Amino acid sequence: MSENILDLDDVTVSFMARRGGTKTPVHAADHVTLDVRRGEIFGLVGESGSGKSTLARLIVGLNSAASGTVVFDGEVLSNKKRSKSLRRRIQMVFQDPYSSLDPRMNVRQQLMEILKVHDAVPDAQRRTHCEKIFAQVELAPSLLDARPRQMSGGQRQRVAIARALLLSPELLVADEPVSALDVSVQAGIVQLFADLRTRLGVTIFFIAHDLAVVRHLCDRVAVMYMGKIVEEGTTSELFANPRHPYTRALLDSIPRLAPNAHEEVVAPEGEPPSLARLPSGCRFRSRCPFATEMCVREEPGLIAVTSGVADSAPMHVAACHYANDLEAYVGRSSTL
Amino acid sequence: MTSTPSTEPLLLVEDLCIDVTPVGGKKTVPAIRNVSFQVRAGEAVGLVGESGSGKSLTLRTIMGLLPAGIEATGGRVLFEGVDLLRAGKKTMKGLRGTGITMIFQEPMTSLNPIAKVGEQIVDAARVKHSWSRSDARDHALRLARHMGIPDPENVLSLYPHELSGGLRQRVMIAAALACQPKLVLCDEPTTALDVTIQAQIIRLLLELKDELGMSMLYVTHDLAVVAQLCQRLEVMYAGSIVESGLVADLFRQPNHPYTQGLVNATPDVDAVVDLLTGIRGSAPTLGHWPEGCAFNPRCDFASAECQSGEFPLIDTGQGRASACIHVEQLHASIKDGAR
Repeated sequence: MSENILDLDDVTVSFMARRGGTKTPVHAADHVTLDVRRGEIFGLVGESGSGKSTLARLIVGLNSAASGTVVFDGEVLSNKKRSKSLRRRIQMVFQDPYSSLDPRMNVRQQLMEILKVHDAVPDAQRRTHCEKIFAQVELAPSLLDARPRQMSGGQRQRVAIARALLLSPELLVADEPVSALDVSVQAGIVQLFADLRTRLGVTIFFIAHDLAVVRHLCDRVAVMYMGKIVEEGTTSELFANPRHPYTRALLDSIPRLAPNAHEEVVAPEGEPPSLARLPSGCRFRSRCPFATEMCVREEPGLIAVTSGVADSAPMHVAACHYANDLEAYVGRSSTL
Repeated sequence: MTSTPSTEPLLLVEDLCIDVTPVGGKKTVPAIRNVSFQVRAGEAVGLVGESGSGKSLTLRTIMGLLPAGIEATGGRVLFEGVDLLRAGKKTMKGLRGTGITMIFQEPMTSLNPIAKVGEQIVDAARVKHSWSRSDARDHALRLARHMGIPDPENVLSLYPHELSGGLRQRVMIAAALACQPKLVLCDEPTTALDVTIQAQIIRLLLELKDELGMSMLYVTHDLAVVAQLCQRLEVMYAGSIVESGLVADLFRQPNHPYTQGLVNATPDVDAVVDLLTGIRGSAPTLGHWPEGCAFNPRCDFASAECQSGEFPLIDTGQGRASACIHVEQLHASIKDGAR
């Protein structure tokens, strides 16, 4: 058993974009390399269009890679249709539990159908198995007979999580599982993911655009921008010592509860470029306050960040030419 | 800088009640119950609540945009002394754009998809000014520049679907502000946007508010957005206001368990707590509001008294009001928690 449950090595996922009659490929995920360790909660953050859902769908086999390799538990996954036994081991929770559950079936029917298709649990034990999973997501067994529309948003998301857990997966891919929920309910679901990891030891690949949620839940975090991983590190290190200007922009943009925490609201300039018309060099440079000539000429790769902490340096990488001397540039404006 | 709010309210909502008749249903159910609050000139007030709390419905009532089957059954909505609930179509038409305007959550569905965005700003500007189209176009260009729209000549000649979400929202704000309204109603205008774009729009709204001296009533589910934008806050739950006061006061020491629950449930990116606490259960849906205080089944302080009767907002001094009868226990528990 390898330490990493999942390795993405130089993976590119492309789609054809129609632009004025001609089709050109755009890379929704562009040469992405990352690893997820067994038993951890790995967070992937980024804004819309950054490619985070593309990666999630690649991992569960709903997208195929144009190049690069996906390795799950030591086994290289091809783009071919996956075997049932493999599908059981990687399960997904979607953002909107209303559209990912069948409105015409009650919850028990939906769960029983999965058990039947996968023949995972002996016939006689299926009913109790459903109840056991329901207890794990902290739902009353009486709700097994309810239909999705009779439930609240939080209950529906718990059902979606129960469905994903039904076949005892090793890797749970959760694509923005709390974004559609009310704040008062969101906290409970975040806590549930933390508890499930502790109780079941399941590895969780957690996608979010909300950095506060990721900070609370994840062991390690990767930040994506326009198809590229721009920064990756342990959660505590990355939040304490962000080294990519985009990560800093994201952190600065979050509204804070403390009233008038910022006399002036900090916001990065401009908007993300189109994936079909990326700028030369660094793809963040059009919005970066520190960009130089170098950033126009050369696309930065991920470089190791020399840690501010003196002891054994935690792994922390950032795709910025100036990742290790960003401080020298703070306050200076772009020289472009 | 911020203009000092005057004492005379620009908007006064008093005992507003709204009933909904479900499609095909015989029985009407209450959606808003005895809601009262005010917005003074130059002031930004936040209206916070979760889905189904009635916050958007309150905005639509003020704007006169209630759909069929939803009706105001009591109370008053006074804008500069005119009762909007009893105003005729002509009065409302005269007020929209120049007196009151609204910015919606999803600009893609509230802009006209088959008209160029420049034309839509021009049309909005011509509601008040008897400008020629070319004068109005110049005004639209000036507005677009003001809203931080890059390359405005080009952008104004595009259709909504050709713009990004952030640009669309800037266009909608430009159209909404084309006639210098006194009161801007905002219905979650940044919820659908990415966080960096949200920060840009919040900054823009803050600048515009100071510069034009406009008043804002800002509906959102996000307490942190209110903290950035508003001076005062009204917290809604199941169609009623449960707490109101200055934003800073409410966050420092909530006077209602629901407000406290919301504050605790909001994850803070600057600090990690061991346990993120939500509020147990979920918000009741329309037609299924609990008896008594609607929050009582989810509340840690609920007693037998909470399960029946009315729970109006009671003044607690210093410009604050709460609908909770167990404020003292709540404060004691917050103190214990801190210790």
